[in-house]
Amino acid sequence: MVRFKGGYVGKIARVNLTKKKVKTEKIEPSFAVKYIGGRGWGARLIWDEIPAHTDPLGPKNKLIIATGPLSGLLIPGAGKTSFAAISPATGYYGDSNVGGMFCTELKQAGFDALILEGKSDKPVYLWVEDGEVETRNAEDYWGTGSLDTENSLKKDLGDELIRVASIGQAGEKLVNFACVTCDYGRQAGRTGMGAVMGSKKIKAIAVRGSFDIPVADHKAMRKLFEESMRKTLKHPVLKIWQKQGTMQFIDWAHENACLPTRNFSSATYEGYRGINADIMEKNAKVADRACFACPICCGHFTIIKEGPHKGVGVEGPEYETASMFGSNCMLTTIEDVIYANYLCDNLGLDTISAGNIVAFAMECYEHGIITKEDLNGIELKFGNAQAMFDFLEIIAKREGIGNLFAEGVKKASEKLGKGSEKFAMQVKGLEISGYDVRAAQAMGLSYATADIGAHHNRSWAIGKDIEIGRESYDEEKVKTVIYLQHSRPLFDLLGTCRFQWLETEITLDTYAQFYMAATGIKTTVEDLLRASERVYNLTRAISICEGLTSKEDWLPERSFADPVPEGAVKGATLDKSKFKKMVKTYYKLRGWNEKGVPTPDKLEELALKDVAERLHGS
Amino acid sequence: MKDLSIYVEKCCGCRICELICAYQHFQQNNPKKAAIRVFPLFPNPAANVPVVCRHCAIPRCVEQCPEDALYKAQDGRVLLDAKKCTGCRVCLDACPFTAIYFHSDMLIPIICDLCDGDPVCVKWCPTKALRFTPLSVIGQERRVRTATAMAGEP
Repeated sequence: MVRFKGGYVGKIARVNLTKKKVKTEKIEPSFAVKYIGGRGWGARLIWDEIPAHTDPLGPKNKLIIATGPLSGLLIPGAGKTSFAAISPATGYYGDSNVGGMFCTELKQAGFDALILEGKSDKPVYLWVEDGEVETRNAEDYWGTGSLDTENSLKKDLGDELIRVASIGQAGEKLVNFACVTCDYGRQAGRTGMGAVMGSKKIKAIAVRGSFDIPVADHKAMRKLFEESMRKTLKHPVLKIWQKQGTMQFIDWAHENACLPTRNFSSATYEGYRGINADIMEKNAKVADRACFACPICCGHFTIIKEGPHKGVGVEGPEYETASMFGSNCMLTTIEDVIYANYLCDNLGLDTISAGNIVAFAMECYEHGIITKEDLNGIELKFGNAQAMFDFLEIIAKREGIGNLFAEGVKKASEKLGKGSEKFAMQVKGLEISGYDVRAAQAMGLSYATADIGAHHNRSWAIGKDIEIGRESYDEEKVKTVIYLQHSRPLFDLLGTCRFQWLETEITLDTYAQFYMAATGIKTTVEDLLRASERVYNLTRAISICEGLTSKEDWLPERSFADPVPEGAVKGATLDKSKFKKMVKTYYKLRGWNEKGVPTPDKLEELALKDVAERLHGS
Repeated sequence: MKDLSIYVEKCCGCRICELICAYQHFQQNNPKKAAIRVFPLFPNPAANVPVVCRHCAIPRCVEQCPEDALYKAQDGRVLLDAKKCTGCRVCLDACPFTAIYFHSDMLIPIICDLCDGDPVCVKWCPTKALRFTPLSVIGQERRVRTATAMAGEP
């Protein structure tokens, strides 16, 4: 019998929006430990509670907001919350992990997780405080932006330090790539979790908590923290991370020819100096911004200091936003990137998908597939910032042709036709994030096989491509992808950020020790990685039940057909048959059959016998 | 005497100071039990502002404490005699920075005691926004920046 003495608070609040009823449920320790937390809990609850082929935007889908056992604790970077549901963008399992302070506050309010089910008839917000959850009228906030909602809520509730997760107009209008914003500047961006929240008519979740978060061994926790901090504070990369965060990679991606440019047609961007970290620091950065207990503080507040949008501020931009709007839509100034970032944050759009879609629409425009008349006068050429701003507004509000693009590039290109499918840069319906993969086979495989669709976070394997060769389809790359798909999402289970492991080299073993100090449960790195593999197979099983087939473990045609026009890997494309072989090797190494379905043996090995029975029929 | 020197412009808002303060004084994982709190203001102004006791030379809290529970110690710290305190919160109203905290688990306020001369918030502040310096050098780094600007281009 497993018992935990801390880390977890031990309670979940189940909120039925249809009946406006809240039930507090105790967490079964064996469940807690087997799936660890965060997206692991989300996946298991989805598997158990949401029938296959549920409408992602219907009342039967559930939004599971889960912290991890390490969220909110004295651990560098312990600030992560996971949002999980069946995704409206892909129709498959979806999740998005967000930093900030929300997780700490939720646990201090007495809950590890919230299960949001049903659908309210009127707009509501949830008020969570010290063991209580209330649904409250949100008609006054409905129709306003995400940042505006957070501002108003804090004013109306009279406390600047409550923590808020909110949606903007895009979430209300069920845009497929609507995000949830936490703490003004941190977004659960991917897979349309904002639309799921909007479908339930939840405008925001406001939290305030004052409880202690239980910890099994405070002394051990503090010792581990101090050791990790000593290492972090003298690490050579700390300064650059604090100064520039992920923005430092714009220059790197340009030099290595993997910076998405002109809707992924080019991999280098001549104008990169206009949108990079140096110009951001010089022209716009006003302060650092960290998530909870994070010494790396990769975030920053920036403010536009001149031009038509003078005075507009945002937390950001970070690499993905700057690449997807900057190079991919060919913006020329950091101010325009910041304004696009602000618009998306306030309207409630995922900047990655939004940047990808605007670039797609710009290419459609330049090919004459959509016209100025279709766009109500907007001249949607690459580099036209004002056109982009106008276009983002009509997408978020689903006005005119914006309604079509609000469905995401996959569905939009299917409806538009005329060859636009070829440059719809998506996998499984999720828009590709900020790396060109034509000379990055491992990264390509990461996108093709990521469980939520094309997302870099599951496995940032491009480092391996650069390390062992930009033309190699070696099995070593496949192994790296699988390892990363377990090790990186492990942090989304634990509720901490992965940068402290990746960048300032706190070891995985230290996290196993942190987990032990927090919960009192003896754990090894192998146990943790096995749990992460378990979750990866479970999310795969969920998506297969929703209709996913191996056909979708693939990349857009452009990755194979259009050579990189210039830069370090000029002329490169992926080779279809070699890439196909890579996918097959991937299945084999994972213990999946040739159709990409986890075998009964694999599932049993991962203690998922019941999943095997439903998946394969008993 | 030494005191906390706060460089607001360097604060990243991570709240490690809050958390480690609560561990140090109460052995609890609870940033709401800290004697310091960080306000992440946004968007106007956009800044992270730690609010903590300044151990004022003329402490209004001490002046107004009806129980003489708060006192200015020889080493310059403002300290609380827990035995005398009634938890009336007059000190909270008296403090010009409202840098005195309360929590429902406790009868008496949470006030910075500078960890008896080795403040843990300073020790683990990752951006050196918090320093522990002699009063004669408090604010020196900012002063040097101003001086450099005054010197102009070489």
